[in-house]
Amino acid sequence: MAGFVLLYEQLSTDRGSWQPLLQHQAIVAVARAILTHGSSIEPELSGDTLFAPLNLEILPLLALVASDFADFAEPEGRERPRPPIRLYDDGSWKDDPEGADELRHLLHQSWFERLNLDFAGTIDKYRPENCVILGDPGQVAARYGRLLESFNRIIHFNHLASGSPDPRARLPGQPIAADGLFEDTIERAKIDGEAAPPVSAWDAALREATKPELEPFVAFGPALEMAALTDDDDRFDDGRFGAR
Amino acid sequence: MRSILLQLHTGRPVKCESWSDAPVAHGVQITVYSENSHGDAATLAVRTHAALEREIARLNAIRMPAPCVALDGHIYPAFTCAGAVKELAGRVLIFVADGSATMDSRMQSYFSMPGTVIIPVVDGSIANPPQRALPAFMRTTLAETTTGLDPGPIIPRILRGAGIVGSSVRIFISYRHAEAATIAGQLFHALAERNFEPFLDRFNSRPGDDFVALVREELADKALLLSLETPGIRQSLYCRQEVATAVSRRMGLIAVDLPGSRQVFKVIRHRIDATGLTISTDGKIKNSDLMSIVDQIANIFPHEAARRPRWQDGNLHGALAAAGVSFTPEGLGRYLVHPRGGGSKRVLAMTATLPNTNLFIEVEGRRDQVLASSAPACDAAIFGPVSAARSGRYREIGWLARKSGVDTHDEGRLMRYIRRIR
Repeated sequence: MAGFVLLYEQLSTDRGSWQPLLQHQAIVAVARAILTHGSSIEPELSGDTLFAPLNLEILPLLALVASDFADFAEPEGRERPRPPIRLYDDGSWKDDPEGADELRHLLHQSWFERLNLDFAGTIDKYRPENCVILGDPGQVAARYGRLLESFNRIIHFNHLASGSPDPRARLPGQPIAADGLFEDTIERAKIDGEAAPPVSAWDAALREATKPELEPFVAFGPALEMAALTDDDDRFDDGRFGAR
Repeated sequence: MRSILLQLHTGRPVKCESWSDAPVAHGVQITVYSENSHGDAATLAVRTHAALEREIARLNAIRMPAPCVALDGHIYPAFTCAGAVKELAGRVLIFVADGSATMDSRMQSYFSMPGTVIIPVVDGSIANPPQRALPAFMRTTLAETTTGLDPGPIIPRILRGAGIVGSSVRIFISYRHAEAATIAGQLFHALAERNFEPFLDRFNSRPGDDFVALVREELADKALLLSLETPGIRQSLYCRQEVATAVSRRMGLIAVDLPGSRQVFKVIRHRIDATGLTISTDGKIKNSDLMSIVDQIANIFPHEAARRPRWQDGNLHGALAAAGVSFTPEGLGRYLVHPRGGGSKRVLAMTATLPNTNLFIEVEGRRDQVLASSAPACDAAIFGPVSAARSGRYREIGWLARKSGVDTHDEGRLMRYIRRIR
């Protein structure tokens, strides 16, 4: 059983950028991957603990995922054992008095446990092993600095980087770009495999057609699973990362 | 099994394919026809056929070769083949006019049968008025008109005319009641006239703790969220939750920036600038402005509505490719996995919404086909947001899974599942 802390920084992007949408897609997919039990066939809440910031920008998304894993599961009416997400204060809601009413409705006790701790206090008390950066890694490194050194594993996404030259250099340890790792693995499979993987049905269907104008496709959920949740993760063999 | 037989005939039979699990009430044979193989009409017919293929694919239908291609390696004209195709109950002719007002007599006879739906298509460059370009037997049928040989704007109407319906044209209108109720009503009617299926929210009471679930249910079968951004939309709890739900469910997203919009929802990139238009004292906008907005929605819609099927397919394909397993694509979000070392084959399907009965039937059927083709063993699994299922739906999914022998898993463990079967 492991602890995962989500770190969110709102992206400051140009108007018309796809990045805010990608960021929100990442939040949903990452939270879902962490909360889903990895081996149970029945839909079941995982044993991992998910800490997330109390931030109105993303609370509607987190509430949606949390409610999927919190309510009664039929047919036995089993109550899920605990609120799926624990919230730490990131200070953002204090600047948003208009959001107080929204907070009241979103902070359902079966979805969230409010810790009344800030980020540092959460690390100090619960010692989570994993940090997942859902924003620009450079911005996060600048804001949280040495607090990040306490994590065994720091995961970020290249698609959410805002363009600083090498954001990973500013994060402590060996941060993992989950989407980069995922894409590299596919590329390696193309090179190492006896035959390249077949193109997707989607690409095949659109081979002769105009491609829809959409954001880049990023498999955030599978990428996070590969980086931090697969049992046979053999990229690290020095025991630094402990149990997952 | 619901199905579509889609044919292209430009002077002769050119293409024929069958689609299973398409959202049609009855099996239907659709023929896109032009009298000759060359010229503008043939070009428009080819484009119309390609656009229909894309739209049907977006409905999560599964494409397979037509029976005649599979059995005989040959395509037959529409009037000879349909009788051999099981469960085809309807005939649809999309007649693309070339100005000659003629049609092959056998085809004309075949598509003159009672109950046949005829959709004439006439480009403005070919005939004006369009009815003049139609053979006599269909001259009383109102023609769809195109400009510049572009069938895009009429495709939703053709789909509807052919009886193909589904969540693909359902638009949820999200707005702040105090600021945009009248405009939302205008858009509702204008979109309905363009053959979309718009929905306005039903909520007018004070939200309780269950509003997240209410919004989720309301958006469950919609393809796209249309946000009417007004100055105070940020204060609307519902609007924020609706946008979050649309993002989470991979719906299409379009915003209309009405006067005073602050573009609060930055996750919406496709935006229609209506900040400069005038709102009358009764809260309405001019009809010409309304039509302009609807035109822009119709243009953006096919792009944004593609997000959900792309997600279904991309996630599953990416996970399979990254896991290094051997697999064959069989349709959008449908793959057959061949594990190394001769283990059980697996039919895998991904859905962005809760799995329904049709999906179980489809996956079970495909698994049985694989077993019948001398595979020693074959398993099947469906991935989707199954943790979101509640009460009745949860029981239904569990029952279907047991009866069909098709496992269901939450999409949150897709990679972990696939890495274990490689």
